[in-house]
Order: sequence, then structure tokens, then C-alpha cells
Amino acid sequence: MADVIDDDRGQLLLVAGLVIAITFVLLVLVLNTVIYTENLGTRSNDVGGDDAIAYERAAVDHTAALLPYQVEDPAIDAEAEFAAELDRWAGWSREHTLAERDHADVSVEEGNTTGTQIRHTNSSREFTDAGGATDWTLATGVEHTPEFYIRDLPVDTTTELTNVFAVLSAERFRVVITDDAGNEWWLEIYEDEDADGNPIVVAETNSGNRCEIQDSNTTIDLVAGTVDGCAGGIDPFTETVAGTYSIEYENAGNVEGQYGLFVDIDVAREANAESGAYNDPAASDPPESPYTTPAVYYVTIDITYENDRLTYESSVRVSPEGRHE
Amino acid sequence: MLLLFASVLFAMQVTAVTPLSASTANQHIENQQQAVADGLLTQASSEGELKPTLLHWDEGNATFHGTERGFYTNGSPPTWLGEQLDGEFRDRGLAYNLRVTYLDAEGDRSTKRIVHSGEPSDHAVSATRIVTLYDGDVLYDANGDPTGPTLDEVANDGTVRFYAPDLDAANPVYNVVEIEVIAWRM
Repeated sequence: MADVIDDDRGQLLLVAGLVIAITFVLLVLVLNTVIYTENLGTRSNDVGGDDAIAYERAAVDHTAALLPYQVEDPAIDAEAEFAAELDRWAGWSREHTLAERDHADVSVEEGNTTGTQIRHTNSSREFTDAGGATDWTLATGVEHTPEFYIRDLPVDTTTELTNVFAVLSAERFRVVITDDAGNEWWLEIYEDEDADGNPIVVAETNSGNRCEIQDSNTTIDLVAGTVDGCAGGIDPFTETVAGTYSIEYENAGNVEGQYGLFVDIDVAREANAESGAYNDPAASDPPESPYTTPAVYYVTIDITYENDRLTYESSVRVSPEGRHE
Repeated sequence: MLLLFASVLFAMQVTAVTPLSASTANQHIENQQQAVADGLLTQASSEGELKPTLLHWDEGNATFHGTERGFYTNGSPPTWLGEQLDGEFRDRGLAYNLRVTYLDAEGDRSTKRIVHSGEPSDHAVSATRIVTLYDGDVLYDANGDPTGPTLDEVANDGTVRFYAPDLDAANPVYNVVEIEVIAWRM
């Protein structure tokens, strides 16, 4: 018996060594598989939520960059034009998301834009409302006015003034902006005399800032507080009023020219518009002044982002400053 | 005994484990790198710091400022994003590529290198952000100041060139690009 063991010892060792070696290799392979399985579990612990949020951010940033949005031609629907603009961007950005096999889209929620463009383009018409009232309210409950200008005033230094503008304080044309807290800002446009006694037209605010209107090419920008050809300008109304405010005209029969505003509310829903303060731009071509057309200040956009593991949908209200809560 | 030792040695040689071998620990590191890359781009995008890098362009030479081959190979652009990428990746022994994918005149995607450190390994992580370039965006000079011409001016001037074309001349959007960071361990 002892002879047999002695004879077979070498062979036994060889087989045992091989078995151990194979066992080690198999053990490592099994362990590696276990590790890899663990990897698969942890590899994509994110289903792409970051990408969806990043896309939403890019869409909101782009929408805010397009705002405030208005179209000068009253025959063009500003909301539809804005929706088409955003749609083009969605097509371009989709090229990038599709490369990652993700589908993304952004669109304007129909009927959910807010903003009004007010225009008075008939230069030989007084600033009265559509019904002829000289003291009237253009808009109430306004929070943002990205544009407000008065221009093409009948001022010609080579001839005598046309007696459009009032001299007496009580009769002067006045833009009055009053906020809910009672803070008031106003701008008067009236006829005065220069040092030599010649008649001039001036624009003056209640803080005492005063500018001479040089000629009919002069534009008064009430938002920026600038008057063409006047170094100091006037103080912009945004420095005086805060929160929501109303915009009114007084003695609007004592001024002629053009004006334009862009307000962040739907003026058509306001009581004064229902009583006929503005003309319908569709009623005649060119439209009778003053008239309003929809513009986009606030807009609600719908964002969808889909991949094989995630479907993300959201609705975001956007203003020119970005996301509007 | 000798055979036993030889078999162990054989097994170890067959299943060599290197620092780059896949493992749970490596996966966690990759996840962390992914989070760092994502976080960096999110921060840069919310602070408006992506455009200074995308527009750090020398329109006369049609390269990024201070590069010979058109992109950075040793270091990063002297912008906020470049400094952050260097701090988070290069200084910690990680390589990264930064590239921009824009839409060409046919509307197809084309890629331009901004920083190129080589071919990424299999363990590379990547993060992307979409950025909209507008006609009125201004190119940055070599010092990082926005003093150059607008993209619209460059597009209309035949003597200078920007890497991406104007998608629609009548539209305020110039191009919609995707910026991508790819990072990996060397």
C-alpha cells in the first residue's frame, strides 16, 4: 500500500495543483462577475433627470431672451409669431438631444400669453381716447412697461407754433402714472417761452426735470428718461412708482403726435377698454388710433423631455427676467 | 509545494487587477466625476459663464485665442469655466476634453474642439449643456473682455470667421450649440 502512495504522490500533487489553480481563476472570474453585476446596478443610478432639467433651463433662458415680444404690424398675430419663433428653437435644440436618443420639445401654451401693445400712429390726431375723452385711463394694474414713447410732436422751430399745446398749467397735457401706494409721477408737455421770448415746447416732470422739444423728430422715452437733444433728460417714472400702477392722460386734447406703449397686462380685459377707449385694429386699414394689439410679456411654455427611462413634462411661466413664479 | 506556488502565480497573472480595472469603488469614483462635471456646467450656465468660453474666439485667425492648432492642448482657456475645469480635473490627475457641437449650414451637428487632452478612456464621463448663441452676442478678446464684434457682424464680414454659421439671418438666434465636458483618469 505504501508503495502505491509513493508511486502516485507526484501525480496527485500535479492534479491538486491544477485544481487549485483553476479554482483561483474561477473564483476571480466569479468575483469579477459579482463586481460587474454590482456595477450595472450602480452605473446609471440617474435616469436622465439632470438632462431634462438642463433642457428646461435652456428653454426658459431662450424664452426669456425673446421677451418682451411685439410685432409692429397689427395684422400679424404676435402670439402665433412668438410660438413659431420658439418652435424653430425647439427644432434646433432637438438635433442635440436626439443625438443622445432623448426627445425634447417646447411649445407655447395657447391663450396663455399676457401683454398689450398700445399704439397711436395718426400724427395729426389728439391723444384723446377712441370716444374723444380728453381725461382717460390707458391701463390700470400695470407692473412692467418695457416701452413708452411719445414722438412726432408738431414742433417746428422755423414757423410759429400751431397752438396745439396749452400754456396755462391747468390746461397742459399730462401723463400721470400713479401706483397703488399713492406715489405719483407726471410729465407735462406744454408751450413756454425761451430767454428771448420766442415760443418753445417743453417736457417737464413733477420733479422739475425739464427738456425742450427741438423739433418733430424728437422722441421722449418715458422708460429710459431720455429726450433727444436734451443732455440731462427727464427722470424715468420707474424711479418714482413701484408695484402696480395706472397710466392716465389729462387734457389729451392739447397735444398731437404719436405714442406707443407696451404693458404687461391684457388691456382688452380692463374696464376702460370695454367702454371703448381703443379702436379695433381689424376694423380699418390702417387702424384708427388709438388701438391695441396683443403682445407677449408673460408666456407659459410647456416642456416635454423623454427617453427610454424617463418622461418629464412641465409648464413654466416666463417673463423677460426668466422663470416667473 | 513549488507547483502550488506556481499555480497561484499563474492565477494572479491571468487575472491582473490594475487601478483602472472595473470595480465598485471605481464606479463610485466615476459617478462622482459625473456629478462634478454636471455640477460645473450647471453652475456655469446659471452664472452665464458658458458663453465667455464659447466666444473666446479670435475671428481674424479663426482659432481660439492663443492657440496654434485652433484648440487648447496644454491648459485651458483663461475663462471662469477653464479655471474651474483645471481646478476640478487637471489638478487632480484627471484629463478632460471640452468641445462644442454646433449646427452647420445644413442643420447637421459638427464638433469643434476647445480643449483636447487626447482620446478618452472607456471610463470617461461626460456632461452636456445646450447654449443658445444670439446675433447680438459679442466675441471676447484675448484678455477675456467682451470687446469684439457681434456674431452677426462676423457672419456678414467675409474677411473674418466664427466656427459656427448663422442658422437664420432673419432670426435673432445665431446658432444653438451643445457644450460637452469629457473627463477621465489618466
